[in-house]
Amino acid sequence: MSMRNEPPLDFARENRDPIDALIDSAARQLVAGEPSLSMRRAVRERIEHRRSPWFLAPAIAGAAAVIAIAIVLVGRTVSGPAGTPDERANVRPTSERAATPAPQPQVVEPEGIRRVRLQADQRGPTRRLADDVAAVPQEEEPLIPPLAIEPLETDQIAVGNPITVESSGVMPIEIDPLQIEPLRSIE
Amino acid sequence: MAAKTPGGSWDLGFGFWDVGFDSPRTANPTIRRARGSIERVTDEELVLLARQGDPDAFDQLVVRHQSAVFRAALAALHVREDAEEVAQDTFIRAWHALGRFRGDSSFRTWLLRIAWNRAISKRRGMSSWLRRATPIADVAEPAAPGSQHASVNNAELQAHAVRAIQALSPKLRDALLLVQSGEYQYDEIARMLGIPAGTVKWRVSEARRKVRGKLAALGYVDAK
Repeated sequence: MSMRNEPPLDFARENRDPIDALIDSAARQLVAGEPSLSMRRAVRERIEHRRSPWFLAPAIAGAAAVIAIAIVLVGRTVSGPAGTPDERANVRPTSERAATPAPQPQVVEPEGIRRVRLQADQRGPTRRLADDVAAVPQEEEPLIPPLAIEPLETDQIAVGNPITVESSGVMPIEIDPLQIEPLRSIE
Repeated sequence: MAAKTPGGSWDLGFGFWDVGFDSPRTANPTIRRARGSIERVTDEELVLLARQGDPDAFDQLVVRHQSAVFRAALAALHVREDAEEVAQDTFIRAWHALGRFRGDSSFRTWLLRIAWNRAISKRRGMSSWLRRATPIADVAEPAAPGSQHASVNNAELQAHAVRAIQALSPKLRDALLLVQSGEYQYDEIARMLGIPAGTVKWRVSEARRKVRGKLAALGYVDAK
């Protein structure tokens, strides 16, 4: 495939107007030349140069993360555990903390329930369930007296007088029942 | 003898081009086979490789089209250094815009369009370019009567023709220079300039007619 616009035959070229040939020659003179050999290298270098930061980005991010973790660890080691001096003194090693059970929050049990539980424990486990059901803790006098609410007084509603409604005077509509005949088959 | 490049591929003497049989970048076996022979690899395959980040494939595209890109820029700018700068920019832009290349036209046409647009932008911003394009009337001297046809090959006449071309309007001059660069077909120039191919032919003809008229006004040739 010819990529050029020159006449394909020498015959055509030789028979061209000499002035047109001169003009074309002058035009070719203006666009003559090849790119320098360094251009290709320069393009490649610019591509590689722009590409490199992106290719290094994961490595840079990883290194930054490692540095950040190291700074945090070193900072903890130097400054010690956070908290007041007393709290820091009470801090035990992790293994020791794992060996001893964690302190449970103390549940405050009402006096009556505790007494029943103690009695049940003294009697033994066989009758404990029945005793728990049967035994009712003795009520103690509350510190605050209970509120006394008087019952509300309301009038009784008289029931038994039916409400009579007078007729509106409109005659009821009588509707004849529908007569439905069975469908006939079309022959 | 084959030598291993820093990138881990084998350079078999094609310059930057490497065969790359053992390159992990070339996962496609069809392309891997095609890379064995430089002549069999199409632009589309090279574009595919370049899109995957293969600079060697793109380098091969540079080798193939650098002359066409450079001459298009030279036709617009007339200054070698400026044309080379635009050609470089064109390839860099193409590299970064490869993802947007849809393949509606050939890679070469797409590249030339980028190059032409870059060159025109530069030309519009160049104030010095106008100073370089000296009008023919300022420098031409009338020739002696009767010597027109005898001096067709005269260097002086050639120089006048060059100046007459430089003094043409940009539209006519661009068409004439792109055609005479010998790099492009009419339809390629038409796509580059964004005009019909018939308009390109008319502009070339009109450019010749105007240059001839300038030369005739100087007494070198008969005006037709």
